Amino acid sequence: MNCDQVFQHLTSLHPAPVNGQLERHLSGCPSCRELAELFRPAVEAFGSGSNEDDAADAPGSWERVWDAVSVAERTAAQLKDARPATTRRTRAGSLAGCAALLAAGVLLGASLNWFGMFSAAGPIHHELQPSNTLNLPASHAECRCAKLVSHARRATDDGVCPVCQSRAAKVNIVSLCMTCHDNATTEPSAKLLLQDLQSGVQPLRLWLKSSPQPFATLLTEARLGSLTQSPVQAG
Amino acid sequence: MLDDDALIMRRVQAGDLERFAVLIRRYQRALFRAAVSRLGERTWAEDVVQETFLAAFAGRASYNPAFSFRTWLWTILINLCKRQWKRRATRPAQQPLSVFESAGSGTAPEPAEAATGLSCLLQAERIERVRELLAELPEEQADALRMRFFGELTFPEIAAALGCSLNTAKSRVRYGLEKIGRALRPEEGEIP
Repeated sequence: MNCDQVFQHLTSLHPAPVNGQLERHLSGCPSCRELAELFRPAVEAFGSGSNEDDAADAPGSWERVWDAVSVAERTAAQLKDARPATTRRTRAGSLAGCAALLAAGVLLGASLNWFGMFSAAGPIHHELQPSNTLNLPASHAECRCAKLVSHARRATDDGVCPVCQSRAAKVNIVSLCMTCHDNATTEPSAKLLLQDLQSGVQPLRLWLKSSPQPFATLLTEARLGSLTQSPVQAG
Repeated sequence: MLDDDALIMRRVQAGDLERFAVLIRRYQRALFRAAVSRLGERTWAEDVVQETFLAAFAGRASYNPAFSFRTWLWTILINLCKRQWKRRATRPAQQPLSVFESAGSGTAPEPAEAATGLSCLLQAERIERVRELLAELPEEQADALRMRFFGELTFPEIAAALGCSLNTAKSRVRYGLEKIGRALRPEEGEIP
């Protein structure tokens, strides 16, 4: 063993057996021997707290976390299933509550992340023509992201494009922004944002980043409360 | 070659969402111990651990199975702890609990083998002392020690989670451990 291996051994709660190599090294290396003496009480103290089985009692939370995750995922799946293929909401009434929740996440993100991101970069024109898999009018490609985000902030459900005046679901307006942002930049958050927004998970992350309230409270209120009682969940 | 965590995450990414519960079970205890140690308050730590798992789940698509899942998880935890600390900084201080008191039944852990009441008491005191000493260390050293001893992370994992070099990660553990070791070293004439 060399000194580095000894150091790793001494700082491990469950070191691999070394068949006397440690002792042999320590007997010939005063600095490691001194280190071993110095570390021992601290390592023992760390180790003595690791025996108790507090997993069941500690956060008591894995069930709660998993319950919350499951509810969020189910709700997202239901939202996804409920979204018409044309991207227009034909069940706008029944989805309004959930859409509003999604919108809340978008707005928080827009105000804290997106807007800062876009405005920091200046008004970004869509230089690349989006693939338009979302069936949006081509004129959307001229929209400025900052305007779209600003517009999205005011909308409650579907929105009207400030450039072409056509209506589109907010998620699709955002999608369009991301199409160019993904192409024009390497923002890792962009793809995720769109992906999560489409799956309904994004509001969780946006709240996580932006809310001054404890996330658990938000989660309970927003996910386990409102959403589970929404018409979508019931239906 | 992918480790078990990465394989599980790959399945989660593919839609086998139930598998995520395995990772929660696997890491919640270590994360919770570290969070209580860092934040000093059980409910804060619970919030942060929940947030950590939820953030990992929500961001599962961004996880690259080529990298260590637990490094990613610990990085999220450390960042959320910092955020939680700032968020709560203006609130009235609560009496911090010991890592072990707050994590369990309200008493220090029972030793694995039968021990006298005195030795239990001494152990409980030493554990509490470690918590205090961790709180006195520079944040980077304390975090490195928590990762090493609560999370049992390797040094490359600690370096990745803390965004520092391998040598720096080792130095932080070393200096932190030296300080705690010196503070815990029995005084001359004292019964260890």
